[in-house]
Amino acid sequence: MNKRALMLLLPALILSGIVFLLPFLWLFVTSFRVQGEGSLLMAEGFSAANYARLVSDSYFAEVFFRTMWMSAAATVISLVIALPMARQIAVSAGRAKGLLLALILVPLVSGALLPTLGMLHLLGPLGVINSILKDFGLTTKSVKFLGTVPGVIIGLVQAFLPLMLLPLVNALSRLPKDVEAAAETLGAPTHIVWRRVILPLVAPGIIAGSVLVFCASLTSFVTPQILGQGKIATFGTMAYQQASLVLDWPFASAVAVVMLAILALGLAVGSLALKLLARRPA
Amino acid sequence: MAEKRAPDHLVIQKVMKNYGGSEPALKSVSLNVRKGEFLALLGPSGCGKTTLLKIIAGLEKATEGQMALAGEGLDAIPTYKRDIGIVFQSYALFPHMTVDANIRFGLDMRGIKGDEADQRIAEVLELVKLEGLSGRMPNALSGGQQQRVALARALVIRPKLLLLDEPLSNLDAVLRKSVRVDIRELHERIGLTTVMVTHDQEEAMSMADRVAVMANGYVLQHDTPETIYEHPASAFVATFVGSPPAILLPVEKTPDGYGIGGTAFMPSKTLSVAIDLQNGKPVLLGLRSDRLSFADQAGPLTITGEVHSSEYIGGSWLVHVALGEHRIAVPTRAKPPQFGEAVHIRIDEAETLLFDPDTGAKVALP
Ligand SMILES: Nc1ncnc2c1ncn2[C@@H]1O[C@H](COP(=O)(O)OP(=O)(O)OP(=O)(O)O)[C@@H](O)[C@H]1O
Ligand SMILES: [Mg+2]
Repeated sequence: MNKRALMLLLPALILSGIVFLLPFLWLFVTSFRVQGEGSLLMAEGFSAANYARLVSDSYFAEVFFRTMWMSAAATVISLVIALPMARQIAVSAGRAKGLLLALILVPLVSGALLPTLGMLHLLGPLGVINSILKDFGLTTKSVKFLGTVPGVIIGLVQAFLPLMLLPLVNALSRLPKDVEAAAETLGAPTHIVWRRVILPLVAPGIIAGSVLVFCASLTSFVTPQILGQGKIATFGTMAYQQASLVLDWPFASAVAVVMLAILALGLAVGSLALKLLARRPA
Repeated sequence: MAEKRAPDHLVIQKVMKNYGGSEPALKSVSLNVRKGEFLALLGPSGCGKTTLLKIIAGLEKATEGQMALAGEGLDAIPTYKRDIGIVFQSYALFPHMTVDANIRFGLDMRGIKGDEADQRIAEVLELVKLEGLSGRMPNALSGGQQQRVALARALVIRPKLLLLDEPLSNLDAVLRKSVRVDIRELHERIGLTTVMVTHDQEEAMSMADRVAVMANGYVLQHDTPETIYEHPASAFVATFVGSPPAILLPVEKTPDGYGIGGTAFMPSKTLSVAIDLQNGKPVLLGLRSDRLSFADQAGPLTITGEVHSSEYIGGSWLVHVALGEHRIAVPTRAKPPQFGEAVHIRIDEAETLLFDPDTGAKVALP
């Protein structure tokens, strides 16, 4: 990079330094302090006590694994739902495609709160889904979604589906012309065309979408808080509890640092997978 | 012709295709391709050539009509069971697979594995002269090499029919000529029934056993290259085929005979009868430059015009003659006449083409 470019970048670098890096640094440092006994102030000195507590207390381990597997489930379900949707959008022409893409973007720009409140109505004991289930005679008693793990997973999928859809639509729209037709004429039925031609070619999109949905689910707070109704603890709700209710900032910071570490790990795994994919021989 | 005709291999009957637009892409196409024949589908851009190829391969569904391959109805057979090899205009190689894996794909689908697969791959690679490149990825190949991989991939499954969609259009002019010969040679060696799409009339005429000329969703003429050149069925075919293509000149009746663009035209007896039979409607006279010459004086079968310009084309001249607002080029080996000089162009009755100006249909000589 030459000097000029550096000069031009400087304001942006300083801004991101202040806005992003400093809070992270502060978070990291704070996570090694401890709350003073019976006080709102932090005690003197540094220690790894918060991390020891995270590792030793089985409650936190439980929250850790629950958050991980709920995020993984939300990722897989999003992928399964998004693939056919993305395909439909990718093959539709002109105006229809633009409209469908705009519709995908709505939940992304509207923020998490509104759609989640909407889900509250859908999933409640007297909500739309339960009344449909009852109308069709599939159940007589209301199915409990709110405050349950499946309910939260449904909410996560609803909230983060666009993050899966966008990279998939992009990858599917860029499939080279006629390769599917070529595979078909060579004797491949539809499922083999998908397995051997389409999926390998859109793998980068699948990886990107999965990393996005996984990371967003892992760190989400609004969805598990509202749909979990305080009964489903996750990283997000736990960090919030510790910081705002228990007022143990150092411990909340440690939770946040672990969350960030997992996030970084997720991104690293994703980009490693992309690299391996790019240089795969056959 | 004395030679025995091969039986029909592919039969297409009244195929119509409407994509949902105001006009169908194919209006009514009937064709037959004989076993071992090389057929060229020739037509201008957008006339429905690719559409017809895709319908044959099952990649598009015909709105109406039937097809049969080797005596078996195709309509109920899905693409992947048709055993039709196709080389796409874009080649459509699998970008994530090596040359070897690209070619092996079709064999895998047929459960052909191990030694037999290896042997067949080696065989087609030799056929298309690509030995030694089997480990390459498609993006590490030149356009000509990619085209040959696509051909090898289609051939290795030993298809019942080979379809080529403008196989030469992505190659440079020099390569195009040599691949043209290669494909023709390959066809002669393995005798595979082949349908090739092209909008290049020279390509169609030089490679194919028979040519189907298409325009506007119809097949206008389906015959050998010689017949299409010598006896075009319509004004469109005459002007689309041949280098040079035919030039159409309207013949009008004048008080003292016949004329073209206000200049004098003296037809033969037969021609004048044919023209008169049109009841005063003007007739289009189709002429090919390479069959014209100069005459010393006006007489039967001559057109009189004025020299407009001339160009030296190496060993001979091409003299552009003005017939009113029309222009026609006449080759000559002698020193060309001067600008403005009156000249008489001799035409050959046996090679003269007459067309109806409204329908473009051929007007038969009595
Ligand atoms: N998928 C499609 N949907 C709608 N219309 C189509 C589709 N494919 C082709 N067409 C239309 O059908 C007509 C014939 O198209 P086709 O591709 O068969 O032409 P072509 O003869 O192969 O032309 P070219 O020489 O340019 O390749 C065109 O008018 C085209 O716009
Ligand atoms: Mg085409």
